[in-house]
Amino acid sequence: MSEEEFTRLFLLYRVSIYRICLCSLKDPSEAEDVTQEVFLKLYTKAPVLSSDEQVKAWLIRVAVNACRDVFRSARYRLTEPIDENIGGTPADNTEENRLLTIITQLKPKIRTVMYMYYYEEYSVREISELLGISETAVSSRLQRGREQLKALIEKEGL
Amino acid sequence: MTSYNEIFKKAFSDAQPSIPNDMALRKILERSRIKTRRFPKKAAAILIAAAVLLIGGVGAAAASGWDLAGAFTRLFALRSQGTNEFITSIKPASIGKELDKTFELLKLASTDSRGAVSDYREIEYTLSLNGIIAEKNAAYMLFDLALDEEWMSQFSEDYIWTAEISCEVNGSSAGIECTEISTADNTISLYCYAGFDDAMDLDGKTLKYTFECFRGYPQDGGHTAFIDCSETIEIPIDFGIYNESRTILLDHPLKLGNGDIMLESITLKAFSMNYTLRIAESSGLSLDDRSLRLKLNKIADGILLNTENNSITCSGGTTTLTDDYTYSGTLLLNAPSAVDMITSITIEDTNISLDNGDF
Repeated sequence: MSEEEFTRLFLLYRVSIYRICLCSLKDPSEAEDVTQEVFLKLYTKAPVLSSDEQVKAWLIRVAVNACRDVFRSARYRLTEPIDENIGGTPADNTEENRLLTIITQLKPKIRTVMYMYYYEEYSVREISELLGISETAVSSRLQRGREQLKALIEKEGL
Repeated sequence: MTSYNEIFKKAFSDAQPSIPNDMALRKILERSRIKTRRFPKKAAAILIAAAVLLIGGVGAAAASGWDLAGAFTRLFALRSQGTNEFITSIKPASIGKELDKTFELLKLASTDSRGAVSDYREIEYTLSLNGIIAEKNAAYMLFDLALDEEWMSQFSEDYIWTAEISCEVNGSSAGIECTEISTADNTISLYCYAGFDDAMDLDGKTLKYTFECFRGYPQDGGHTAFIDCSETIEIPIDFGIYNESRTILLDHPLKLGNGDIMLESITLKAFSMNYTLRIAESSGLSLDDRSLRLKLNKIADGILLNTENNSITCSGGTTTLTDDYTYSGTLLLNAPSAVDMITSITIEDTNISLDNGDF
């Protein structure tokens, strides 16, 4: 892959991949590290993909797997960030940050599926393929996520 | 706030990497160059050669009957799917009857293709932890989920079951994988493996798992009847007296048709039982690989670990831990030069008595 092509893809998808990592890991600096690893893989492995959408799907798959690895590592468990980190300082107590903090209270598996469905607007089938889980698993996580998110939002009075 | 789309769009609208694009990009490009230089072709060839030698060494060790071979045999048996051998090999272990739990008033939610709930109903179900084999830093669990028969009958057989389980010990989560091993009548059995860090010792810890399951058509674009059976259960892991191996030497040879066979030793160890069977030299019988199996009630079929010195060493788990540790069962022999033999064996705590029975 040429440096120019890589730069184009990096600028196109960096934020998306970062957000997926952030959604999964909750820790902004950890999300940045994983995002960098994902793009490093794209550059060094240069998978043959015919469209930008395919590149994006590949990046998401790699990112989700990389986050899983981080999540399972002892290092991450020992340094798991407190929830407030993601929402910024008290001065950043905007509705956006409060919502983000609420979302991170969902289980990682659930919030990743919900993010991909509601933010990235992938279908249940596409999420199933991207995450390597069954469609029923995706539906179940969405269902549980909706219930939990609704309860959390009501509790926070948003 | 009207929709979940809106919530997510809003929540992530400000989430941006803090490092500027050009700096992050430069970092990646620099790292890619370093990576390329670090592994020249010559070094890669040396690494590959070393890997081949290592694999060869492990293979040779396994072939020589080193314990690794047994460990692999056992691992593969545990991980193989859908065979009776697999089920019996993991079903035996249990941590105690009190862990069987029954939950009622299961919530059933029918959802449409967009996932919106269209119906809720309540049904009865039973969730049992049927077996658990706890090792130093891993746990194999067997769950049975039985659902109300009448309710189940309304679903086509095409419906598939799926379950998700999360598992943690003292706040450390495990990587856990579940495999559906059988779905019969109104019951689903799930085999799950949870592995923890190498440093984790499960003994004395509490295993906490959260169980969720659902059933649905995978083919119809997301229409799912999902069963809310989410439960969190805490299981204390206490190897207790089983933590240390106990080997019981037997001195009662079983008399077989044309020779004697000796159950040489039985080792009790954390929900499993290793036993060695040896044919006495005076019998003139030669022990053919896998020709001998000890089959005890409450004990799974033994998994062959190795055969040497005319003996067979097997490992099986116990189906239940009873207070008196008494087991009974049969010894099956299919030696080429002898008729099939069946006898019985009773194991009582540290005293082993063999009943030759009628054969």
